[in-house]
Amino acid sequence: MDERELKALAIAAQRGDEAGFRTLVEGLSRTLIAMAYRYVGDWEWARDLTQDTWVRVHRNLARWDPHRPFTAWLYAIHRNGCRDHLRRPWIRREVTPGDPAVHELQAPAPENPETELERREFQERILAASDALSPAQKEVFLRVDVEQGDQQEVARAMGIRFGTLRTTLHFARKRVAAALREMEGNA
Amino acid sequence: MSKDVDCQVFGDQLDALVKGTLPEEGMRQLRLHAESCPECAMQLRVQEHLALPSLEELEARVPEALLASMWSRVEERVKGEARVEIRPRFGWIIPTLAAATLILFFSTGFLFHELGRSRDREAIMAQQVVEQQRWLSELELGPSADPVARTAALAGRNPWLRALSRQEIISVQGLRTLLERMPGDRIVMTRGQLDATVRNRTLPLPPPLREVLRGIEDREGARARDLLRALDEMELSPELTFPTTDLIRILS
Repeated sequence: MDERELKALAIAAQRGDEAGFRTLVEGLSRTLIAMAYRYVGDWEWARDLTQDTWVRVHRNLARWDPHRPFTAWLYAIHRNGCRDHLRRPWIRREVTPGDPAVHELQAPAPENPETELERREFQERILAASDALSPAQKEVFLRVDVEQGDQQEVARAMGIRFGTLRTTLHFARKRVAAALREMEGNA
Repeated sequence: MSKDVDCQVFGDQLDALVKGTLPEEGMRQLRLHAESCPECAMQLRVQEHLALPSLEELEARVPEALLASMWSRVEERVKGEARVEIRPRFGWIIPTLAAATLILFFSTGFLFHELGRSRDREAIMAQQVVEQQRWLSELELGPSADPVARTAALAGRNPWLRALSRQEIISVQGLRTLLERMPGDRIVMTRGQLDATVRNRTLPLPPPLREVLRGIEDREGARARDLLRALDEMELSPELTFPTTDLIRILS
């Protein structure tokens, strides 16, 4: 579905068309779950966060301005949900690679559980290190590096020049690397 | 070889290095730099970690079971929220409560405003009372027990007239004492009163006093020391008394 079709469905959903809302949920959940997985590294959490996002979207659909892209609004809500989740580490699910819950979901089993665990821990450290960034640097770093967003599109979505984004990203990466080195030095 | 690449160049080429879109030699030089620079090595490690798996790969790996149950879960929660919404027939309660809250808020604000103004007025009145007390003490008159009644009674009249109006007759000595208690430069007759007094032939004014008053050239009027001088020049007996009404008539 392209942006025009998504917008038409969102407008219909805004007017109370449940079928339109359902089509949106079924069409975009895969991307949202994948996006959330990049933050939390756990399929079940990614599913729960995506579900929360859709409930929030349904609740606030009347506030969406149809003159603006629906996906940009949706991703912003989803991104905020994922970041809020990272700020609440005490509610993290205790799932380790090889956990039966993961197998039940039929996700591909990790080839090497230890490597997978290391990957997940490193991912958590990266996200923790991003807390040292300024708000602008963090926004750019999360959108470009964590979510692997296209740099031109991110610059456009944030309303900044591409050169500004590159400079901000450069400093953000340096600060994250420095914070990680410090963490590893203290470990 | 690593000297050929500095950290700035490494940062600029980092994305291309991770994607593997650089020529072989360029990639080799960048990796050599990373080996000798821990900061850049960490940046490379972070980027290599985050680049895999890509979002597209992750999308392909999303478990189908999650997707299949998504709509039913969302639908259940959305309908659950709708059920706990306030029923339409009680919908008037919220706007009414909001309006009542607003009215209460603004009326409380108005009351506080009025209270503040009353306090200001009270402060001004208290200041006036203090001022009156100071004048009265200058004139050796005891303050009344009721400051509000005293303030009301004395409002708009100067202390000199008030002192005179409290007694029916006054002696020359009493008048002198009153004038001596005042600061010498206190105006007891304004210029207008002074001119009117001198011009008005019907006033029972002793001729020497009229002459003294006529001789006062001060633009503001007659001061306490001027009247003392007039009393001296008239050489009146200190025991001589006269009705205060005449004086008040002159000075009012």
